[in-house]
Amino acid sequence: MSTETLMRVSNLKKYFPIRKGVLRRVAGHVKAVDDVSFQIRQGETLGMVGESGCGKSTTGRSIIRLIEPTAGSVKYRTAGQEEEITHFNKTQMKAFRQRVQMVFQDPFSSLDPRMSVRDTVSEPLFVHRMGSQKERTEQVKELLQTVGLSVTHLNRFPHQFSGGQRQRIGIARALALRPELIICDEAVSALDVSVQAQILNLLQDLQSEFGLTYMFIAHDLSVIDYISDRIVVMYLGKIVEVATKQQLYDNPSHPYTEALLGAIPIGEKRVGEGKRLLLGGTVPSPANPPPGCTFHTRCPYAADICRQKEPVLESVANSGDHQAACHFTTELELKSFYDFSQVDRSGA
Amino acid sequence: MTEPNRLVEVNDLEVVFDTVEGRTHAVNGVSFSMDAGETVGIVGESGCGKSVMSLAMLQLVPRPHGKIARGSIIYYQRGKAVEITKLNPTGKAMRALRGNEMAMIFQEPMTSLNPVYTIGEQIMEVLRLHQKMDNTRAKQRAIEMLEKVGVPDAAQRVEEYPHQFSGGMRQRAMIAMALSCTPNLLVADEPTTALDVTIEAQILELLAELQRDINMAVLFISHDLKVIGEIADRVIVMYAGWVVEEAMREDIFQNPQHPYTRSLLAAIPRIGRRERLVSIPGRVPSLSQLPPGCFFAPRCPAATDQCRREEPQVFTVNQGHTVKCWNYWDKEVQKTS
Repeated sequence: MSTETLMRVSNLKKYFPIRKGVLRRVAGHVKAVDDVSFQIRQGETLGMVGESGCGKSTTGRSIIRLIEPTAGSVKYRTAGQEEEITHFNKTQMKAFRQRVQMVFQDPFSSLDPRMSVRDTVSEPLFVHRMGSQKERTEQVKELLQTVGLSVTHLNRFPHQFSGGQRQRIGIARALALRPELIICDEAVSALDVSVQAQILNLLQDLQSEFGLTYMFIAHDLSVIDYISDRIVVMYLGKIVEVATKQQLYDNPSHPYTEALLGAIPIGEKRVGEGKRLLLGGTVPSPANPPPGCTFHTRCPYAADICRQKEPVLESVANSGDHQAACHFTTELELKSFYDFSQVDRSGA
Repeated sequence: MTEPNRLVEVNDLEVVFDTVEGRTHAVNGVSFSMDAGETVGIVGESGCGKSVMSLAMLQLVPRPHGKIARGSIIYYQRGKAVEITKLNPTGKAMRALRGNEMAMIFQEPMTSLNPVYTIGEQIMEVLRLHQKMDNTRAKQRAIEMLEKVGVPDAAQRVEEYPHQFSGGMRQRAMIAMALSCTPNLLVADEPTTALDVTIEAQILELLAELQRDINMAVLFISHDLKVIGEIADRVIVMYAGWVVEEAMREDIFQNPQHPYTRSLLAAIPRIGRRERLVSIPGRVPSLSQLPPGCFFAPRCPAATDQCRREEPQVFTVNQGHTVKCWNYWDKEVQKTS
């Protein structure tokens, strides 16, 4: 894996207006993504994790302009040059979409029920005018085999497939244009564990075969740990921590990350220090986020400064790769995942 | 013959659905028992029959398509055996048990709460019906219950409607409703699946705490082995309507015997473990097109001709640990006899 940056997202914002009354006047904004900056490196898998409503899906969609961002810059490296995709016109955007594709969560609603597998997978090739119809069919056959389906499935329709197979169709469609970056938005969340393992393995195989870069959005920290190289943790529209996988699980630097690690079910009886850390309350509304640090309403370590001043995302001492947005990063001694998973194996 | 602590006994239960594709067996000869205060977890993938099993416990199998075709569920009401499967599902006796003696919580709290009644009215209905409380007392009790499950400002929120509650709060309200008559058995069908992990941790902790308080037995159904491992004393693994393995929690995790249980454990990503996930090839068979012999044989790495031909028997590994697999018989039982 190189350390070359493929995509550089800076100060990205996405505000959705809240309209009220008969005149549909804008009465406020839901700050779904609020000033988010991160990079995706060539060949890596960047995991993005957070609870529902934290803005992770909106971020994934905004960076490829499936949703138009409110503000901020997204630079994508093409042939050694960084290009600002938020300024792209329609033609440039279409060319850009060949390089970046998306796999969605729900394989039941992301496929058109009236299109056969052949039509679904060859549609991107058709839209981008690649090859004759015959060539396209050949390519679809090849893609189906790549994702572990059979050519006999060519003329079937989505309802004839199981969830795992549908997700494979979605992956074949995403691969059709030979993209560089694939954004997987909760791509395995709707699947049974045995099938989830198949798809995770498939994604890893495809990555090494085609040198793909992934941005993997998920709420399941075990899945994120399995597939990611680096991880971005989001809370209420903001990034609270960025770290390599190792750093995040061994040495979390934001209290929210600690709380997430403490909440992961481990399937065993915990003892002593391994007791779950319970976070009180729920995520505040992104339409009316609390002042200061947005996490202070639930943070067990919150002090006065947290209620007044918003922390910035800064490097954690001695590691350029590790950033956290907390006033007390250096002072706090947070528990690692391994502290939380001390278990009692005596059978008592 | 029966243990003094016994609460529920399920014997050879079979639940069938009549569909256009013919008769399907959602639950196929399931037997297990539960003691008072015990937590039993049922785990399995979608379509394994775990939800139908949970509905059958309260005679809630959707009719007329579904019905209990064979077997029995015996519930011990203060030591007196009541055969639930003999009761009329809509009859007075069954309705007196539901809510009062046994209660249920579902996965999606939004669809199981009525959007046009306040949370308070919905909890009060249960209390008026089963405990014959008047409005004032029922309301008092509803507020008490909401406080108990950790809903802040309960006195005020009792007047609110379900849409004003967040997902975690709705699940708390559901739990408050289910526990308002202090049932002896709670059937929880994927109660935390729709929730975020921090909220899931809160709800699991809450359930465990309330369970200790009123010594209630919980039948906890989930697709997530790790969640089951957090809460259950005993684990039942289901596959295509069968119980394929049953054991104490430690045995399931440390000494799994059925190839399906082993595969499930190997298929879960675990933090810090770097090796490739073991995936189970294929998928759960459709209940209307079950293979002959062992239902797991087509996906089983260790399947033999016998597995493809004959339904496996249930073998005892040790006390309380059973497995439905011919391989176990080949390896262990034959060796010793």
